[in-house]
Amino acid sequence: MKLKSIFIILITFLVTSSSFSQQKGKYLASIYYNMSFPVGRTSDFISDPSFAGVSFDGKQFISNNTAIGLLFGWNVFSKNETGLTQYSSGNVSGAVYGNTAYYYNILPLMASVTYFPNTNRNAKTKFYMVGYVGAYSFNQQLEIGVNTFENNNWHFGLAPEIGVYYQAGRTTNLTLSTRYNYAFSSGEALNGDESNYQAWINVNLGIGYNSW
Amino acid sequence: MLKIKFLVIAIAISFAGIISSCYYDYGIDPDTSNVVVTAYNNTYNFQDVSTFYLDDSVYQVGGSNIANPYETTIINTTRSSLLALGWTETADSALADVFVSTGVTTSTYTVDSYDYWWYGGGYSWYYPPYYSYSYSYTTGTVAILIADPDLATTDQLPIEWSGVLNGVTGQTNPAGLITEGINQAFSQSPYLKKN
Repeated sequence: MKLKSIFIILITFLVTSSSFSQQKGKYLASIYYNMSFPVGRTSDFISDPSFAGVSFDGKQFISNNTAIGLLFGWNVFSKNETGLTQYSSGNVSGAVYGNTAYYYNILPLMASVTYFPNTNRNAKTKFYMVGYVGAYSFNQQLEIGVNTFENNNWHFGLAPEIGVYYQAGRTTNLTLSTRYNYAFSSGEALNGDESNYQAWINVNLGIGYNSW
Repeated sequence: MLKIKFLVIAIAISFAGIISSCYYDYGIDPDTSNVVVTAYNNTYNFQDVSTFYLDDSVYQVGGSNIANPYETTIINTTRSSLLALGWTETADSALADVFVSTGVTTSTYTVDSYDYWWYGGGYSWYYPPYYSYSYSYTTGTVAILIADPDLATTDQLPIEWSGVLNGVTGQTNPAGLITEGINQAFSQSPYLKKN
């Protein structure tokens, strides 16, 4: 009985090991639809969520459960207001009456490390974690009537992500993930704030191609 | 394999199309361009002051020299708005708690499609002459400022409240729009009302 148990464990180990070993060097390429939810200072400027965003990434496995990759994308937030809008910044407060429009156009360009705790290739569903580091290009615009105030800055950024991967076909996969984006303060804030950090949360739906 | 790659590329292009169609440029129309912006020093107590001196000249902001047929409208509407809020006017500036001054300026903007070209995909993308466009518009601005002379330094008078009206010129009934805008500036500043 004991010998049988050891034999089963040994066989299981060998089978899974052989499948893990084939993962290294394989790659994933995906496209994501991004929904975005502003937080912190980003929410102070535009509190509305955004349903306009897209990103692309490519990943290559450097070990059986770790992949490195690159991501680039585009997230946009926008809001239009008519009527009276109150504002306050430091010692200055006031109000704007009329048409105002607010925009953020964000282009992330990030390097990533993805970790799959479960490397069993027979598992259709796998959880994963990603750490991103890179740069965000931020274009911030405020339109008051026909007057436009604009700010462009590059920010250093970090973004942790957790997600679930589903093997939908032999080489096709679907992903659902959420990512917290933090862009460190950079340049001058449009409203004169000392800090110009930005933060938002993405919820991502992805479809991808996998090379195994 | 090729089929899957094609599918992924097709989905990518579709996504880009969907997303770009989602991006809405609110494109503020010059016809609805009028805005009234007020700003104030939130550490200044407007209840401590109640007497104003109104300069009866409307200044040309930034040294501009424009015809201003609406001086009387600007001065009279500013005066009546402050009186309606419970302030008291004085003709002697030495007796005034605050000074009130007004100014005007204009700016002209030109939008030209020749400015919008770029290089991509091995080509220089530009608007051909039969398809190009160019237009310009002028905005007019009226500013009303309130300052406390007791807080003045040697040659500077810090502004405690400002009301700015801005809109595209050439609209019908400009005097009515100016009156409406000045009234709006004071009505959106309830802290100026005397108890």
